[in-house]
Amino acid sequence: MAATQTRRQAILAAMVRVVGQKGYKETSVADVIAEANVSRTTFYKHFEDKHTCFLAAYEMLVEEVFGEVVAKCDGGAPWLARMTTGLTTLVDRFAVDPALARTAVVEVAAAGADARRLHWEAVARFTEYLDAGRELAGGRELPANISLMSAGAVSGLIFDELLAGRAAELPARLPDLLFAMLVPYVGPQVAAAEMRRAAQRH
Amino acid sequence: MQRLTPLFDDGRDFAPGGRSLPANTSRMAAGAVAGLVADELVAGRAEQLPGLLSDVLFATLVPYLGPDAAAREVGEEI
Repeated sequence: MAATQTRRQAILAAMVRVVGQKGYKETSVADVIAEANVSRTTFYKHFEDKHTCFLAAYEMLVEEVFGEVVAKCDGGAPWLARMTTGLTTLVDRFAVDPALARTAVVEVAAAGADARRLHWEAVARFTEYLDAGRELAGGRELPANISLMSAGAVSGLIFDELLAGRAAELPARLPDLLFAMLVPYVGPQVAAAEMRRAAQRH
Repeated sequence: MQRLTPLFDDGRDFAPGGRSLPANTSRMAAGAVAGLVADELVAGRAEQLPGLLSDVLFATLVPYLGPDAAAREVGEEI
């Protein structure tokens, strides 16, 4: 039983790596089983096809990476400190594992509607944490879905960097990402001041 | 999406200190709009997208003008 689970995990990890390197459309089951060092029979014992395997791999990735980031967003520290730590955790993880990052953010878009839904649900998990940014807004009324704007802006910047193959440069983009996260709540002047502070710390 | 961003960037002309905003501010605006749209589509509410116009306009303006001025513009336009 344990060996079966280990092989399944190996297949999922291989799927994440290969898709990140070759792209979803160019990845075949043969690529994945070669990377995982398992037989075709083993692959089909666990998964119906490439797509179902990718969805399972993506769910694993979300739990592993996004779960870690969300955990950093919890706790008793001030909101901005928690969000900065969460963002830093995410970009550092993506920077050291560009294949994983590309699978998580870029290639998922090529894997069909189910996969895109999983991706957006992962992004949307941050919105409940982002929404506490209202405390910085000085009591002004903001749109109900402002945390989606914040999450979308950050997500868009990360997507562009990864699409351009610049995963390693993501940590240097942290000031811009902070600006994107904050600006819907506090406007460009305050967000730019935070961005400059982050750049000095970095 | 990248084809839209140059249009958004004209917002710098209306922003106090607009030239000193981050170089990728337009991409942030576009990403915010994409986030709003994606959330509706994932929830199966494509037919309700036209009702999102005021939020889309706010998301486009806020990186340049800030939330107060963006809300005023939305109120005047819609």
